[in-house]
Amino acid sequence: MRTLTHRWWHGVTALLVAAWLLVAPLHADLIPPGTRPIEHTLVFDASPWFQQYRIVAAPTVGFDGDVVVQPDVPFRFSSKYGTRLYAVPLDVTPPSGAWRDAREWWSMQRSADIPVAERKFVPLVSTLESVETRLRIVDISASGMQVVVVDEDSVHNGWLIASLLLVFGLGLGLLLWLWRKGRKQHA
Amino acid sequence: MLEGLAWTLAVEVPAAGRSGWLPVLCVNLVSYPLAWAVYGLFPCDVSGAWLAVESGVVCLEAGLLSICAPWPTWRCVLYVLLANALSASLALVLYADS
Repeated sequence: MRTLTHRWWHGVTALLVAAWLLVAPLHADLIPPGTRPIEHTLVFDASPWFQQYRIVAAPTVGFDGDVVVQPDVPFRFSSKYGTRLYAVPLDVTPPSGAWRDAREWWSMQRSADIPVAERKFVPLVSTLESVETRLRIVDISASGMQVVVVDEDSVHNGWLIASLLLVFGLGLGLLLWLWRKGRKQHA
Repeated sequence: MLEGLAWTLAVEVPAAGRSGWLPVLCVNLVSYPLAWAVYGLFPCDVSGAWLAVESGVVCLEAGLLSICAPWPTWRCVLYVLLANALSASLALVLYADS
């Protein structure tokens, strides 16, 4: 009877293994490699330059995505599309219409590269959720615009960290209990 | 992590049987967060490094089982080793193609 029960048990197990491998081979007992996207934004410190210039962030390639930057208001950017910062005096009116139609005009304005590379993807297992880089305009002159990185804030998934620690602690505690129980039985 | 634990609960725990289900569950509870932390610190694609980490985790699981699992320990260890080797091989092929 006992042997029969064991055989039945092993049969069920084999079926479960086979079914699982066929249905979801990628969800097996491993942590798959890979990446996931996160949001990386920029934000400017308030400074007197904003009272003299209109600051615009616009891509050097691609068609759209230009944004008038306001101090302390986060905005998206793209390293892939080469987002660049432009400073236009407030008394100068930029050409109306689509950004792509006035690209030549914009290329003659004072400008600067974004002083930080976009973090678009992180490993699948990373707890990082988003990044916000704080920038400051140091100088705007005839030769261009100088922008520096002031600070970087990262938001991590606290629930994931807490869950991992809880699961690890629970598993370790149970293993220690099993080990002590086994030693007592042998003694 | 939930997918991995689902695999553990659906395949490994039943396979370990009445004498080994709790130790098998426990080693997985310990090894998953550890592997997660390793990948968080040293991210890698499908490669020898990834396979090395996965193999290391399986060896750790087997080692912990051999210490903590009651008789018949060898059966639990064998199940875990086989299940992991099979799933790792499959995943390696599938991920390498993608």
